[in-house]
Amino acid sequence: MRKVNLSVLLLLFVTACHKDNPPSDIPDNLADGIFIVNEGNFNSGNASLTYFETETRKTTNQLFFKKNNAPLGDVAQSITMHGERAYIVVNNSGLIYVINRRTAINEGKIIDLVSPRQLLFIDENKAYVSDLKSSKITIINPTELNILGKIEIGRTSEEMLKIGGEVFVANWSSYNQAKINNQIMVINSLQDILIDSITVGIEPNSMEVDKNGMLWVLCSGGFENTENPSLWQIDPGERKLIQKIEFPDINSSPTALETNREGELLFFIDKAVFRMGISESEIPTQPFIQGFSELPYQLSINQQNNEIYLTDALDYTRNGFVYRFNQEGQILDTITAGLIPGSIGFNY
Amino acid sequence: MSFFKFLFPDLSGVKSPERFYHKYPVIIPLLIFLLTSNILQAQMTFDTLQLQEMEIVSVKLEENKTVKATTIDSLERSGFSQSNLAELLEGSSVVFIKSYGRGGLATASFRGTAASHTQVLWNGFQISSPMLGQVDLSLVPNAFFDQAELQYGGSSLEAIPGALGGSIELNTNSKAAGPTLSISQMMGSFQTFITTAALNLRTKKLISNTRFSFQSSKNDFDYYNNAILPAEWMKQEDASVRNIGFTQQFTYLISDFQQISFTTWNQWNDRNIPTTMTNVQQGGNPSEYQNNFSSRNVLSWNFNKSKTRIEANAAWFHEKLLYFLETFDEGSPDTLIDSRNTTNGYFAKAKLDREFGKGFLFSAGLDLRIEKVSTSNYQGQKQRNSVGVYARLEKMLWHRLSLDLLLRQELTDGEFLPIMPFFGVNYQLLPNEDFNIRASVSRNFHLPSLNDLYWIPGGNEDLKPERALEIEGGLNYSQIFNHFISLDADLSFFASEITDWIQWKPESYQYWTPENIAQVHARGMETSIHLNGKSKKIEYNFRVNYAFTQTTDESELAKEKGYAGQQLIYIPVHNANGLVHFGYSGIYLRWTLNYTGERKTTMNESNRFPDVLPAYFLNDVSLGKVWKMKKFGLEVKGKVNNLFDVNYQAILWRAMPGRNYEISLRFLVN
Repeated sequence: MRKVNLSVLLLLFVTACHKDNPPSDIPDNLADGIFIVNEGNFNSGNASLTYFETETRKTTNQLFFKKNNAPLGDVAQSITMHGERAYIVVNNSGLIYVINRRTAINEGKIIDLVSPRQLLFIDENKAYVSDLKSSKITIINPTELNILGKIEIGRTSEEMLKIGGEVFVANWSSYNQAKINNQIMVINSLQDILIDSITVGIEPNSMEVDKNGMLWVLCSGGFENTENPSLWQIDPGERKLIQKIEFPDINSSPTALETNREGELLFFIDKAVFRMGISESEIPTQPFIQGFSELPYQLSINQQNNEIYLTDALDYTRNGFVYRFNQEGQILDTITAGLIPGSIGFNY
Repeated sequence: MSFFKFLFPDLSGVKSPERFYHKYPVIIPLLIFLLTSNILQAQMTFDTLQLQEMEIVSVKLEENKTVKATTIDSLERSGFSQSNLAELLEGSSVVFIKSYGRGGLATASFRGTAASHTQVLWNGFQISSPMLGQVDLSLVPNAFFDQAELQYGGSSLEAIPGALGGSIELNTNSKAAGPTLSISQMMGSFQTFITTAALNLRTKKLISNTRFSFQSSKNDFDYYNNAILPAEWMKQEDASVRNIGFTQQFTYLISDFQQISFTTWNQWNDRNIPTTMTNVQQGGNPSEYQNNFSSRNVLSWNFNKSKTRIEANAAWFHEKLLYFLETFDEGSPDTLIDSRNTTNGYFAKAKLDREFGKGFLFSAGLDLRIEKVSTSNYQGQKQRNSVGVYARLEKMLWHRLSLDLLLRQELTDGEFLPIMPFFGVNYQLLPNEDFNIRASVSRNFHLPSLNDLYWIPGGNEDLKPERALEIEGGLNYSQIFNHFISLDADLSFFASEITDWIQWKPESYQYWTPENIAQVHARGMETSIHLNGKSKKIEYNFRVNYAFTQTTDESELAKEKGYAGQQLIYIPVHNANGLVHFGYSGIYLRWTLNYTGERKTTMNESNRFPDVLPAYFLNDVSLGKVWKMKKFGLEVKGKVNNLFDVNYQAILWRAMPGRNYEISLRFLVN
């Protein structure tokens, strides 16, 4: 008991000091900018949050730790902005931290998740969480911060996309499943039940919807290059394949499919950044942006101004970079982030 | 619980070992011993109660040695007689121990090198796993060996190639003259129980030595988890360990000059692996655990007559390692990882030492090593065959200058490695003083581990061996001033350059692959001061060891990327330990302290937490009493670990215990 009291005292002392001398580099309120979620190394608990103010070009690293006096956790996978809050899914810690998007102060958490990856809002009181190890999608209440239930989909899940009343879920990983990982599962989001699935290539890692309402699915072809990577165009209403575009090189590993604000251009990473129009039927041979990144990792496009953010994971042992480009692909900024920068949250 | 059940527990499932941790009635014999202690005390003579081979002997660096080599003596070992090699080295040497926590994986690194650059030998043969190329020192009970010697840098080349940092040579070799039996029991915090026993029997020609060790701990210590929001006090979960093992040695004395012996060491280890502090709120009740069995068997023949010594040894080391990761998603268990690995090592070694005249020694040896690995993580069974030969000349000139030259040649899977030479000199500075200066230079090669070569995915069969060029210089001063003051002081400087240092790197974002990337410069200084003395009733020991190590990647790549000059991760620049031992009339007080300096956790420039872990000081204190009579001996000891309840992390976000306690009882019949 004495031990407890002592450390409570110590903690009070530390927090007291903290309040008396707030480190000068942390703003109380975050101006417009981007959150960069740094994954950190698996099992090392060194995920972190970086903030970049676009107006002043000021970068704050370790923002979560500085604001909350606790680490973000182990493998921070994704950030989802919603209302006044940002939801950060911390994969190997099995939880979601909810922070205020203007102060970055923790407002709560959802724990007891198996291996959460991404969060998709259905409405104010319902969101889905995909899972790398479990065959179930977890249904949460993002306002009350509790678990409502689960949807058995028979496969692990990664990226999710809502089109009308249906949610499309990519079965990216074959981890912990005997079935081939080449399906997009379709869930009715009113009833929370699995209604259908669409066969695509192996390892569908990312999805986008274009201006015509077409679903695009990027498949990397498998962990051990089982088949050529492929890009699939699907009519989500009919759940019908429109076209499949194969990548010529079986050893390539394209990821991170994104669209611009207008939904006319597709972007992805395949060692460099590539760009193609939605009416094209071949993979471009020339990269759109190259030479910046040592290990191009994730791609995000600001849906307000089409600015492109490319993250660079380097060798996973040093703080990575995020490169900011305008829509023509000209470099605007180089931001020093944390270990393995990945997901980006636009805070405007 | 019956004693039989206690001795022979069900080892099938470590996962829920709680039923195993019933307290058993060891308290009754303890009371009896305490009640009879007055009678015993009357007949007491002063000594630390040990088996013959555990007698306290004065320790120092070996004289006239051209390199640093230290023997961990029985005083140091007596303080750790019931713990494992990791704790022993942490408390008595400047070899850096990287430990994942109480009962968890612990590896050793010398002089700024990697854990894979430390070779651990038992009775002459390497016990490291050929898969990882390293040894988990937490699974080596100190009760199972009699001698531990540390060879730094190039001096390890006679025993084994590839120990770029150094080697740890353990020997099980009982020298008991008559029948003895010793039994000890320790009980500690967190439901920790350790039982050890040793029995020596002897006829004129045959010597038998049997040892037994059993260790179990629930390891459910309390810690303050400030890695979650909100921070709270928690109990460490899923950290229980259980080890049981025995060694048996038969030595047959063929003649006064010849003996043959067989030694076997068998051990079963079950361990639950706790999650990091950041992950305690994960769903699905993840369970990570490891079961491991090893059987190590050595047959040896020795001939030792006048100036010739010949030795021939053969060994078979067998190891099974099972590793599991499971989750329970609403009742149905999902096995995420089920990894089963079997390794077999077949070794043979022959060695000749011959003295030609005074101060001229010639040695030569031949080693054969076959290592086989069966694992689901490789494509088929993999094997590595090596042959090594060496010759060594040691010559003393003018009674003061020693020269030492060693050449080793290795052939692995049909390919020759370049010759590995070692050359050392030692000079006695003053004719009648034990005050020596030494210097040495060596070249050594370390082969990639089989995981580096064959792991799926990522293993890289094109890896080259790591190459090291090492130099060392040092001063040693030893003096026995009088019976109450003797001093040994040593100062070493070392520098090594390791090229083609293997590192695993992410390859795209698909998987990691090892490459010969880094060029590591490790340099530094080690110093030790040992002071001890003894009178009829009083004895004291005072020891301090300190190491300063800078180890950085100076490759072109590191320079280009700007991380050259930065300390490699998890190697402290400053590392020290100390021991104060004071005995009076059979009562002894022993204080050990360990200082581990700041360690980097990433290759970032930042020097703030969590890129850097803070330094910590740990203090352990024990108080004991020894009663010794003609035929019986008894020792009672109480110990406080982490006396000042320091809250620390050896590895980022791995929980460590605060202050904790042990009591132990040792009983000896001879």
